[in-house]
Amino acid sequence: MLDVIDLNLEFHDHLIPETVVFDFDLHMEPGEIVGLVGESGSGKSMTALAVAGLLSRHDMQKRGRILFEGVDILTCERSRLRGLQGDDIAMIFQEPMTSLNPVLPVGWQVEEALRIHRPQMDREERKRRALQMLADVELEDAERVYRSYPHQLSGGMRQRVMIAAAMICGPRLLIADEPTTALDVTIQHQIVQLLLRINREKKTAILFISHDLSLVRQLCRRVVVMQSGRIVESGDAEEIFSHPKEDYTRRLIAAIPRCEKEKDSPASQTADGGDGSLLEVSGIRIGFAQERRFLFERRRIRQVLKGVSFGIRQGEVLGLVGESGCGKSTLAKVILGLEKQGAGTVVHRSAHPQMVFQDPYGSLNPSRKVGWILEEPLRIRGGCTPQERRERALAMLQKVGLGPEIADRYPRQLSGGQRQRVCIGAALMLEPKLLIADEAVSALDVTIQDQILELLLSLKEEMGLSILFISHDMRVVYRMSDRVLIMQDGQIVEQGSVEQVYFAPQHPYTKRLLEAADIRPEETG
Amino acid sequence: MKYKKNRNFVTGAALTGVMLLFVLIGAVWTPYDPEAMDRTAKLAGVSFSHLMGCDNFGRDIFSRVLKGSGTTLLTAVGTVGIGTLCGVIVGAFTGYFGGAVDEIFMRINDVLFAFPSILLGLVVISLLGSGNFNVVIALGIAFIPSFARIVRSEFIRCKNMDYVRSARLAGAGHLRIMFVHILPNTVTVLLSSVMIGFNNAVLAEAGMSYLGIGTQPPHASLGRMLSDAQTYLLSSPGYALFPGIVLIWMVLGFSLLAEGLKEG
Amino acid sequence: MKYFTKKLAGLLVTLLVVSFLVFIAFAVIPGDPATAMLGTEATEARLEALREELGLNAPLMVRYLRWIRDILQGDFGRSYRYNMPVMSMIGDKLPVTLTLTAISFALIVLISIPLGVACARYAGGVLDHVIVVADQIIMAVPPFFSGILITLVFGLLLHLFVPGGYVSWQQDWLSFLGYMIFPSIAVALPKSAMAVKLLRTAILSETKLDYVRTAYSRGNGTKAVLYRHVLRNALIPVITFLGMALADMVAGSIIVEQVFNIPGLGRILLTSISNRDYPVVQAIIVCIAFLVIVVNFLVDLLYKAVDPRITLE
Repeated sequence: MLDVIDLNLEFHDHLIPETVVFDFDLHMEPGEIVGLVGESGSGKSMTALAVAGLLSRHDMQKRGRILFEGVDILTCERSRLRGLQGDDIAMIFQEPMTSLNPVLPVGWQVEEALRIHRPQMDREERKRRALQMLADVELEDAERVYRSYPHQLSGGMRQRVMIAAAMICGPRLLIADEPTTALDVTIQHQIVQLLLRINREKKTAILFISHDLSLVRQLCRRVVVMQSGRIVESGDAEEIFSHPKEDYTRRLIAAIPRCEKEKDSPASQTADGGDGSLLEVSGIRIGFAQERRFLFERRRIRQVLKGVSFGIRQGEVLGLVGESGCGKSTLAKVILGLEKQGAGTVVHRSAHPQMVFQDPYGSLNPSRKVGWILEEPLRIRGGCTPQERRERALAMLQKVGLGPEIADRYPRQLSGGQRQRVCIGAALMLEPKLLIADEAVSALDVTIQDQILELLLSLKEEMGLSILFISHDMRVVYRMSDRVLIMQDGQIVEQGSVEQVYFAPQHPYTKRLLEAADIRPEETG
Repeated sequence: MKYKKNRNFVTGAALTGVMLLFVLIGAVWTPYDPEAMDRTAKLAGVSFSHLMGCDNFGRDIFSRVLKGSGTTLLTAVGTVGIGTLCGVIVGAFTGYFGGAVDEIFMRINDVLFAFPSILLGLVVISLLGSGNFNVVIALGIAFIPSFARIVRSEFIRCKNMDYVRSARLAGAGHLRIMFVHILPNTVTVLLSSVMIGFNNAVLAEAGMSYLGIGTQPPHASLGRMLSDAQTYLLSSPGYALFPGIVLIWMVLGFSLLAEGLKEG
Repeated sequence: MKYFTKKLAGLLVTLLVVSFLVFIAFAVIPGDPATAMLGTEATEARLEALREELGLNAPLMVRYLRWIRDILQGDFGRSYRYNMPVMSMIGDKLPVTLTLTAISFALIVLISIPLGVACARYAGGVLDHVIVVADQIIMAVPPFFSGILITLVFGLLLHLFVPGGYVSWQQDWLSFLGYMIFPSIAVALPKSAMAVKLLRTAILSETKLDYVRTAYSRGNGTKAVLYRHVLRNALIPVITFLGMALADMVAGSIIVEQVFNIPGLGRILLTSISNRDYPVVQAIIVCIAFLVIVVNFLVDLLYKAVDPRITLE
């Protein structure tokens, strides 16, 4: 059905042409699901866009052939291509919010492909099909969704709408470019199940592009692994997972934190033998006023934290897992004193807890050099000469694995991983006893993620840190933590040592999270 | 420098540079006394002795344009100075702290924003009386809301960034966060709105002196010259065209600079 | 509906604040109106009598409320200078200025939307380059100077209209409109140039967004993507701009009236300012402020109609 032969893509917007995809080959049978895996910059999205016929940039040179049922997408007439797009080839994207037109109703957008490809169809029939399609992607109250605008729906609902709009003409090939990356794990799991069902029932072939190996493993029979524009390895998914041939694939798989029962973590011993708690949090409640629905309505309060209590012991890593909106970031703010309202007590047994944030782009002041940023905490505290400050900043750079030349760069000149190292360094300048890491590795590629986790663990040993490690990623938390808290809807629903929580979960929500993260029994055994 | 390739910035800088040179020359030397009347040269055309001709009193237009553009530019500097200074302070505090004070300020700001700056200037002038100094005060006040609004929205954008949180965790006080951490990040936006401010201030000053408020005769001002020239439009079009072209030159320079800064 | 009521409440509050500020400004700063009316030689007794008659001895709040009550009844007070009701002085001038502003507004919309779309469609082409450069220059021309140029070219050289030959609308509304079109162009030119530029930039930046890619992936052609998807999004900043430009256009109209010798609000405002005839100035300022605020309210409603995401703050 689909044959990509010797695809080469080259950018010409710089002085030196830059090739982003080299000699790419792919063959897909009808009804097949193929996973295309790679880290950012591997050329996987470019390839997907090329297959969908969406690369129309003039400054780009395309060589090779993309044959969809005999039609070459790269060279056929535009009208021919447009006839295929939306009818036989459909595509869904990573960000369902920005991928839907914000000012048009959802129903209109779902129907659009019908309006283009089935012009003879009348309005009622279109609407009937759209409603049926919306119901088919498991959206409740299809009629209401039909009339809504994208901003009125949740992220998961938007992605379902995208799928409905893509599937409305019954395409033979669905290209899904990171369709679950922006979603919560449990929603992610549901979308993957939905895609599997669509594939089974409608025999639609799916080209699934993702950076997430474990997700691809759940969905695909066949996998193609890409690295900087080239295919590294391709073949049967289970085969590649169990016996990767290439070094890069092996590294990718190794970078996924595995959940093996025998954790060789020396920290867990010191945690047990630790001299009492560093932080006691009890009965934290906090609510935020919502917007009034009527002019004189009393403002309703939405409870974000509903009585949260826990403690952190000296030298331990405490994992905090929860999905977006569960209140975990608010909890971090309360602990740090950045959020002052609300009830409950926070007792610190150490001065200066510090924080590492998720987005390494937003957490470094863009108008200051790295050296300035590292020195700033010392400058505020005072009592250091400029030379001392400089020396300590350079020493910290070395500690987080960066060269001294980085001190004179601006954050925008650094890569994501380097920035996150700088963030960690800045947080450790005042030598805190407690570090809070809020989704600190979520924005990074798996291999970089692995390095940062390694860095955090070694710094912890070296400086005797305790870490509150907040994340949505069950696997990452497993790798980092001694104890875990599972948080849902402003409450801690389960807590205990990692072994307890991961291998003998009590609460149904914990079980759901584990299932969504595809933590399989064979790994644990 | 990253602005090198920026065509708008380069053109704008060149135009403004030439303009500044022109004004500087006018400040120290003019070919004739701009206020000296020469009865024999009434409405004289363009010649080597009078590069832009003479007006209806026989005054040398070139000299008057030199002096007049200086006045306009000086007024603009004063106006933008007042507007930026007050605007940054008001915008920084309201944007950073928010709350009830912010609400009240924004309400008043909205109201002032609804007034065209020239009109606001006219009101202030009608209350204070005309004169150059009063024009600067009047326009300066009229310009505060737009600056305050821009600075406020920049501060709102920045105050929830993680780097501000990090600074707070490191123990920085509010003033330090506002002026050491956030302010440098607003510079690009601020600079380009200062240029737009110059652009608007020049237009407003010219408009007011065209209406006969502001610079009083016999002192030269571009707007006043345009209004006087209208009577002699057909017989000596140069009388209106030269001051007009200089005015456009000035405004164009600033607007291109603003444009270039936005891109850079 | 909730949006509407909230905006309406906001409108009323703004109107109150504006009127109060204007009232305070004119009640406190300029000095004693009785002296202004009777001159400095008047006896203290006569001044006192006049103050009593004008109600100037009442507390400030009472005077403000009376002033508002009078305005609601169409009474803007009496001119110091001419001792006649302000309403009769500005009543027939207001429509002239309003017409000028309205025609300019219509011109801006008619000129800028097609040109902006054309520019964006053929971005990088010759037409686009020409318009972008012309745009930048036109933006820098103040309305009164373009008015002078229009007078010179269309009036004095091409004889398309008689400069200064204003015909009032009571006499002949067709010639009135024929005359008003030229000053309207002068007012509209710089704002149209800005609107063209804004729309062009908005379309080009919208085109880079994800939903455009989605639209292409459904088989839309370039035109369909532009008109069905991009344009509506790109108009949102243009609407904001038009709302904000209105205040400037009223000011522009007042100046351009002087160029074309049109007896609108502009002339009476200027003479009143130089005569220190405060009730007239105050009335004109209040009228313009109310107009601008009400139009901004309408723009807010339009905004909501175009962009469903708009909620309160």
